[in-house]
Amino acid sequence: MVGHFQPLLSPDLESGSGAQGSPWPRERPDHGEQDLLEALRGGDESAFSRLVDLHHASMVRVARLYVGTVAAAEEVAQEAWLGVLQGLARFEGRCTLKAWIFAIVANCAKSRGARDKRTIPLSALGPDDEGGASVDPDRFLEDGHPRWPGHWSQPPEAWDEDELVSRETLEAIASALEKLPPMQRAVMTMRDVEGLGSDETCQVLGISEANQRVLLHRARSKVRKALESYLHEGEVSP
Amino acid sequence: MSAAIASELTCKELVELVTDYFEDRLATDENRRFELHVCSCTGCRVNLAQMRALVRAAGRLVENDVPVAVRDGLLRTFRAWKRT
Amino acid sequence: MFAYKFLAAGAIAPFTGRAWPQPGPRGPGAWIVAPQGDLARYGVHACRLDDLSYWHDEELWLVELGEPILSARFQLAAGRGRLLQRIIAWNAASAREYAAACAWRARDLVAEALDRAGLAAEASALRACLDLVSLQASATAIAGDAARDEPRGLVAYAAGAAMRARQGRFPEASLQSAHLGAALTAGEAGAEHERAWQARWLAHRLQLREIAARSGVGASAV
Repeated sequence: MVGHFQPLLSPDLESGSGAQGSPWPRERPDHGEQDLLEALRGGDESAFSRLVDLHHASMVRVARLYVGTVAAAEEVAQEAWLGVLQGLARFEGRCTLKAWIFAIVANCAKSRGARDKRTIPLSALGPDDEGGASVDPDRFLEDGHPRWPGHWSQPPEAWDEDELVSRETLEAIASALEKLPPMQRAVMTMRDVEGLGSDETCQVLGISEANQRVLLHRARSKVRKALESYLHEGEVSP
Repeated sequence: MSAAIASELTCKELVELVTDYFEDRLATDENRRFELHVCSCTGCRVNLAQMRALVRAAGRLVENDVPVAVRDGLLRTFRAWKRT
Repeated sequence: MFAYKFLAAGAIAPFTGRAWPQPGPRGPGAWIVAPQGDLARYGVHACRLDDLSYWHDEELWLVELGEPILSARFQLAAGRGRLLQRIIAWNAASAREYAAACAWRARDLVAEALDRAGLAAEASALRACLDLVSLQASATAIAGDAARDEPRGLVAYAAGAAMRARQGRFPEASLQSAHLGAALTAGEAGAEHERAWQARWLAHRLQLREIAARSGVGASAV
């Protein structure tokens, strides 16, 4: 039941990631969360309300990685809020608030899964086992080609970036995410949808950095391929 | 490696490195080989741009509305917690 | 110290996505300072003249670099840099010329190779081509499906370069020519030689040395 949560994330969890000068600049706004936290600890209801605005929907998304239905995910997220309140005094700020909250959600979801004696879609025990290339080998010239082995035979065509903000396209991306194997979906959701850093994602999911990177690559590659089909053919693949 | 120039990456090799590149995990030497290849290869440049655009778009998936009933329920939870 | 830098449209760094501050009426763009850490990796990167052919992009700029400056293979890495002026001579039209120049260079190289192999008629046929369409057709026909390390097989690089040049695809056209260079020398030295040729072509066509001299910035990195 609520209240029996596993300990907070381990103290050596680092916040954020994105090495300085890295080719992938990460900038997610802070939302002044330090102030909110202080106010919340002081019992400020409007601070709590603000926090709910900031995080509840994400929490439902994260819970949804573990449980079978949106309704169940909603229940898990609501349970998790009590865990957040009860754990507030212990939160030391060594990781971002978001990552800490997600860990609580994950714990709630796993407890619920165990309680309901149902297998959960997302198993923290093992990565999915897929091998294989992230781009269809048919898109490249054969290894025996005399001059350009491994070069594109069917290179991708540039996308119109304006297309990527439309509602339909975002739905196609969301749909592709839904279809990913569970661990790939979890990693890409945490990293790219929710903006968690690499270290935090690894902590929440209980996987190594290298493993996380492989999963992220496969996930993004699959979604890229689905998006490419969608943009070219205007259809979401079955 | 390319047929003529062993030190160059092929496109097939490069597409597998894109995430490592974004995570700043390639060794400096390989990092530069990656960038050199992209400069000479429109297909790989497009692939890189697509991955980048895709990640940005994924960040826009966030719908953050909280249903009123849910919010009310959470506020009740908060008040109950406050009393303990 | 000045150097050159290719950037994507809008003076955007192609890899970091960072927008370089552009020069204006009051002078050069603001300095960009590299983050602390491994200079080779995180420093502000720029080209010496010889490096240009490796780093193609849409815009070419004259830049000023500030200390420390590291000289590495293929590029310089500096503690800071700023844009001085856009090399406006580098544009879609000159890029097409460049691609074509690479194709004709490839033609010249394979024609010599054919001559050395005693295939005078084929060499002659290639030299008779006056436009990229006929070069592509002629080279394709000569190459047929000959093996890569036969003289005829090498002609396929000229066909490839001609095709890309017709499409205005200068990165690929120059790559074809560089690979041809490597194939001719059975090693990377030939590729570097072709890249150096390409850089000289760019320097000459775009009058890069003259522009740099007029900028009055100081020592050349070259």
